[in-house]
Amino acid sequence: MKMMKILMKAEMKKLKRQRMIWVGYLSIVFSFIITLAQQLQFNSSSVVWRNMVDMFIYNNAVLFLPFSAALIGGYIIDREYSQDTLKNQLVVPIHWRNIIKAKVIVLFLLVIQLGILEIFVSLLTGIILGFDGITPIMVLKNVIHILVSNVCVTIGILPVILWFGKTRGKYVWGSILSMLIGVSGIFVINGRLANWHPVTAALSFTTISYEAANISDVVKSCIALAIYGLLSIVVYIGIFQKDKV
Amino acid sequence: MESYIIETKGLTKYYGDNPAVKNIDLHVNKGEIYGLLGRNGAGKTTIMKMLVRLTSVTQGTISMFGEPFIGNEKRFLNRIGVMIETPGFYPNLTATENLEILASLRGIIKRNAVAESLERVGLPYKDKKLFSEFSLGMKQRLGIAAAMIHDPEILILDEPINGLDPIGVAETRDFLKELSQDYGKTILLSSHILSEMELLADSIGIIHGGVLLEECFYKKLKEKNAQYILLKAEPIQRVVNIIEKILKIKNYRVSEENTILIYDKEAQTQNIVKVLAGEGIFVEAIDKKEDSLEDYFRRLTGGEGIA
Repeated sequence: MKMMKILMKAEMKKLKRQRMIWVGYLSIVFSFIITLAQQLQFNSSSVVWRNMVDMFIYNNAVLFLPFSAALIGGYIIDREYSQDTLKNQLVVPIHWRNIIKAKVIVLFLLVIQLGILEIFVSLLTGIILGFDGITPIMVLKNVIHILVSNVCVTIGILPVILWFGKTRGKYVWGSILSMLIGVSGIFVINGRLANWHPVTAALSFTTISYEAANISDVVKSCIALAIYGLLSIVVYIGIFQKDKV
Repeated sequence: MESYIIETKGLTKYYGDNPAVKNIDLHVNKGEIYGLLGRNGAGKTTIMKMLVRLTSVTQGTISMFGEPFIGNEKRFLNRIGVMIETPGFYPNLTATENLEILASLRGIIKRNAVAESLERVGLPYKDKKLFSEFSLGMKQRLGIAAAMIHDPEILILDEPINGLDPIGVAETRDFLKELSQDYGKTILLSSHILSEMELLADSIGIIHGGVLLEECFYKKLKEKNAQYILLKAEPIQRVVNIIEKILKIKNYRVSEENTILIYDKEAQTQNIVKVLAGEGIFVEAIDKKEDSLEDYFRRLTGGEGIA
């Protein structure tokens, strides 16, 4: 546990001045601009803040987050090969499997950080533009929705990140595949597969629009996320559990 | 039985069906500077990687500190500092930040460990320059600093003077000597630069084509290196006759036209000149010579020079 804490701290230090993180920030900006444009276009009279946040969560989940999270996650794994820094840690000795664990945790912390930024941007815009329905309860509800959505989308694409992280230089393909998975969510969102899709699974309980009318949708989504989580563990064990020599 | 700080027996590494190194029996004494000498691709890095578990061993055993190096990785590696191939660090961080990460991973609690190791290699502490802006020489220095940050007993350095300028080379040499002589550190280093090995190493292992051809103290190697008399005189056939029949020298060889190399240890230059002059032979040149490490390396590997 103590070692994991040290590894996580080290992983966070490694991100200092890291430009790749800006992909995450930029994806939020683009996602928000699209959302705002949609809201202003479709609601000529007044915009309801919770609808805007819903749309923001949806756009981010299907269009941007899978790509940016896979790109950042893949990069922080891949850089240990490409920048030849892994050898310095293996001779400490620190096992590659533990480094990967720390990296995955840091990736989740990063998507939570991106979520906080999303909350800040949407709340600030809502206040400045005078959107309707900004109440403390609604703010709290949306904070939870955004954070849970980001974490769940990352769980959905984690097997892809880990799989493409096994080979040097392949992480970009992983992020492209994650982007396609995200976009494919647009086509399943209103169908039966919505609760099983890696990206849209979480939307049933993280957006108000898609909030589950019945408990079975939530259960299905939870099972789907558990499967993706398990799949990540299987990929992790298969690829990284054995010692890197 | 003599105990070595690093000892390998029959160390072998195959990449697929291709042997990278075969049956390496390495013997490194405590406190010495041991130089692994060989051309690029000879297998030096592979041996070093196996020693620190960066690559698996196909066959053979490794002992460190007199104990087998199996299942003791954590305990042993804490006592070893390593720099293999080009130093790899995070380009977005400074030298200090890079070393702070390694220090934290190694669990170093000494406050000035980073500053000290940077100072030792002549890099400034808390400098704002990023690793991506470093010259090759600076990267090399940082690599050495990283290897020393935990004050190890053994330093394993792969081509440590690669990319250093002449002043940097001299500084590194002095510094490594100081580590060995004043602090009793054992240093295993590899190089393909013969002149540096001559100046630095106490013992030398010559590796060629994945095989350790010879391993000995450098002083002994020097003694062992053939001393000979180089003689230039004409006509060559008559000179050879005089050498054999009058001077009774059998251990010689004709190298180039008009050049004879006399390996007989009893032979004396004055006597040779006197006898040849008496026979009316003009001696163009005569000199006592000694094989350099390069000559020795060339003779041993049966090929061209190393560099």
